Amino acid sequence: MLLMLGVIALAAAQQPSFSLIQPRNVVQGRNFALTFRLSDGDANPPAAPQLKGCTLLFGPAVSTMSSTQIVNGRITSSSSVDFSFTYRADEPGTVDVPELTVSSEGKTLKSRPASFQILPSDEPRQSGGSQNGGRPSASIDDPSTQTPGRISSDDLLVRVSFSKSSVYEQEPVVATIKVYTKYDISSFMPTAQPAFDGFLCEELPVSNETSIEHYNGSNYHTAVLKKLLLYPQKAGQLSVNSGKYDVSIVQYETVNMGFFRTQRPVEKQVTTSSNAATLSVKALPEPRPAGFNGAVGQFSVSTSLEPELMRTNEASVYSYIVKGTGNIKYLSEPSVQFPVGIDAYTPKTDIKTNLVGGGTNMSGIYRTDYTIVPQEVGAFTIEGVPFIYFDPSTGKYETVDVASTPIKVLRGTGSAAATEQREIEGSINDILHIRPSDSQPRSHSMSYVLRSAVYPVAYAVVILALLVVVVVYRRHIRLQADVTGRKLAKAGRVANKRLRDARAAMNAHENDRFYASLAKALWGYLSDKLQISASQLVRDNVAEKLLAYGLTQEQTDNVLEVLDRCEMARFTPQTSDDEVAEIYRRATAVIKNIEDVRRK
Amino acid sequence: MMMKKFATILLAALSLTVSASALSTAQLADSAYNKQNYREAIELYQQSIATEGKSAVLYTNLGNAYFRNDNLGRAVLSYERALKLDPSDGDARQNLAFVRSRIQDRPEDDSSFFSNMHRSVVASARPDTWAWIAFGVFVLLVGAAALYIFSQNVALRKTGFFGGLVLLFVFAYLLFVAFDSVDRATGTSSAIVTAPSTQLTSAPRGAGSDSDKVVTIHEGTKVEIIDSVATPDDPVSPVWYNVNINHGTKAWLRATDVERI
Repeated sequence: MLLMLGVIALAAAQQPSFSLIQPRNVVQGRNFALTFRLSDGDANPPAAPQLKGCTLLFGPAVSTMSSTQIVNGRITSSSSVDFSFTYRADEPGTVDVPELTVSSEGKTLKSRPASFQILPSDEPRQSGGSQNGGRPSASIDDPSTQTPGRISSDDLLVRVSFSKSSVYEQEPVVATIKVYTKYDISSFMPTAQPAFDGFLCEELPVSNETSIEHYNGSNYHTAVLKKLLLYPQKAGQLSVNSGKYDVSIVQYETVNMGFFRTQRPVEKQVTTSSNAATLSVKALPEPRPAGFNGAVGQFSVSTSLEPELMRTNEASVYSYIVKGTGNIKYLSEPSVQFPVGIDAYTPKTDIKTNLVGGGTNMSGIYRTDYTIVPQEVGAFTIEGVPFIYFDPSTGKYETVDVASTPIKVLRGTGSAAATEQREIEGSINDILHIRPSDSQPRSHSMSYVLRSAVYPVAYAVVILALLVVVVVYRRHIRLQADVTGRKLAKAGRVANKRLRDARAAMNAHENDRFYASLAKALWGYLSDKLQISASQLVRDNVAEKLLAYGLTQEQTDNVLEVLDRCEMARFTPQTSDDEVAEIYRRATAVIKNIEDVRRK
Repeated sequence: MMMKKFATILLAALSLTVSASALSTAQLADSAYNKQNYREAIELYQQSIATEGKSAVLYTNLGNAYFRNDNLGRAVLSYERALKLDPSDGDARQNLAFVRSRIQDRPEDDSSFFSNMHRSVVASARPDTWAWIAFGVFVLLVGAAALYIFSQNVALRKTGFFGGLVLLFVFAYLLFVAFDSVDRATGTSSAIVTAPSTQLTSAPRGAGSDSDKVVTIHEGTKVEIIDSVATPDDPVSPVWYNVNINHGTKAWLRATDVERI
């Protein structure tokens, strides 16, 4: 509890401070006060500072102020002491107020140096005099001159001014709309807003402070109505008007009250006419480099990848950060291309700006965040997109090269999609690259084998080859057929011849010779006919061959019987002629039988 | 055997031509292309085609250079020329399909299943390859005939007969393919619009009124030239072409706006 109280006490104990209240501009010949304020401290009044061109009239005057607040049981108190010095402004020019030192509770406190201006007094106006019937023209803070009557256009005006007279397209310029008045103003109503055709505009905050300015030979009270940051969108002479305003001003009427004269305020309605200011806007030089998309100013670019260690199916953020001064709010998104295998979502853009250069320019950060989710394991590269801007101070295009970001993707944990097989699919987004031109033979004229003489000749050769083969084969077949035929014919003829020998023996009744020649003729015939070699010419073999040749069992038996009878007869000499004739007839029949089979 | 021998001879001829054209204009063109000097690459490729002879690869590369130079009409023309030299050039076909998808006029597709199949068959090999394949099938056909004539075995003879019958049809189709392929390779009736756009008119004269206008076609579109009209002063070079676009729409266009493939 005690500790807490101590903390509160510490928080409540405020540091003393000493400062100069910024003096306003003053008009030559007028008196003015210079005030130093000591807060939460206690000190002796300082010595009056020496100001150039001013005469110290009085000072210091000390006024003390203190306040105590109790909010929810917390007590806060503050006190301040003002030291005022009164001077008379003698010479027009800039006055520097030196720093002033006071010592408070053992501490030395210093005020900051400051400066203000002493404006020359109003020049006498020829035209104003004639218009107002010799009446002196109004001057500020002097009710005696602010008599009712016509208001000259010099007495109240609204002006537009630019911070630069010539700019490039997209280069920011500050337009200030100020009201200048010699009278006090009781109300102020805009009836027509200023028009800013051809500009993108952005309102800047304005302070409510008024000031005194010397303009066109007269001094005015001025107040800033509007302050805008303009971005010209097209080249040429662009003009802006100040708008129209209904203003009530206060004039002072002199009233004679018998013994003394006094002044009474009178309101008067005035409509200010608009004035126009022209700004010359230069077009950006041509040719514009490829990839330039309207950035004007001075910029730097950085990229970041967070987190740098990427895993499949886990999101990372790739940021493209443009820092600088210029039309930072009107930049366009960089066209970052991500490699195949990395899914990128629609980027998010974040713009942070603040005013720099005394409110004449816009500086800030244009950050584009790409949320990317790698789908594949491996090493990839995010190509850096160069940032191209136009620098109005040099009048040249500048390119900021952005380094490519190498990335390595590891397998994510617990992701089903990572292990899932996917089809390899590609899409054609461009033509294929060239192949080496010398990888193929070259010719001046094409010839086609189909149209050449070689082609039909090749066919002719094949057909001819087939014909030749057919002819040769046919002839060969015929020759083969002739050999067999001759052999058959020969067999018949030999058999006939042998049977003829046997017939001759039969007719000569030489029965022994008959049987010998008949057996020989039959064996020889069978050998030739069945194409059995002599070594295999035995009874069983012949029977088998004859059956295979196509003879019936009966015919075969018949052949064998004839052969057997011949064999037997050779060893039985006593045989009748009838028997011989019978055997001969049967042998002839056997040969006929065999020949018949052949013919079938 | 014959094929093999032919191939060996062809290979020998190949190696001769390759060694003859070392350090050529074409190589300079390739390096210009790789340095993205596409305008220079176009000139070098054209020069190379004129002096060192043409090839499908060279025309494909020229097409690429034109495409990079945003001249889609001439890119299409070059790819078509590459495919005319070698219908089986896959790179040229793929690039042509890609560039076709970028041109302004989309031709109506009136092809049927069979015509598509036939077209892809014809496109799968060079005319000479088709000629030799047809010849090879003819040799097989003769073999089948020989089998039928000489074999004693009934099954083999049947095989020879029906096999030969099938081979006869195959041979007839292949010979047709070979002739079609050569016709495509030597035909000059197709042309590509190379002007950014051209007005087709109903008569061989400039469009005098709106009724003369048929249609406006843009670069890269393919037309079939049917007829041409020349001036009496110069009967060789035609001034107007009568062309056929989709579905037999006939119209006239200026000869300078198109180029034959």
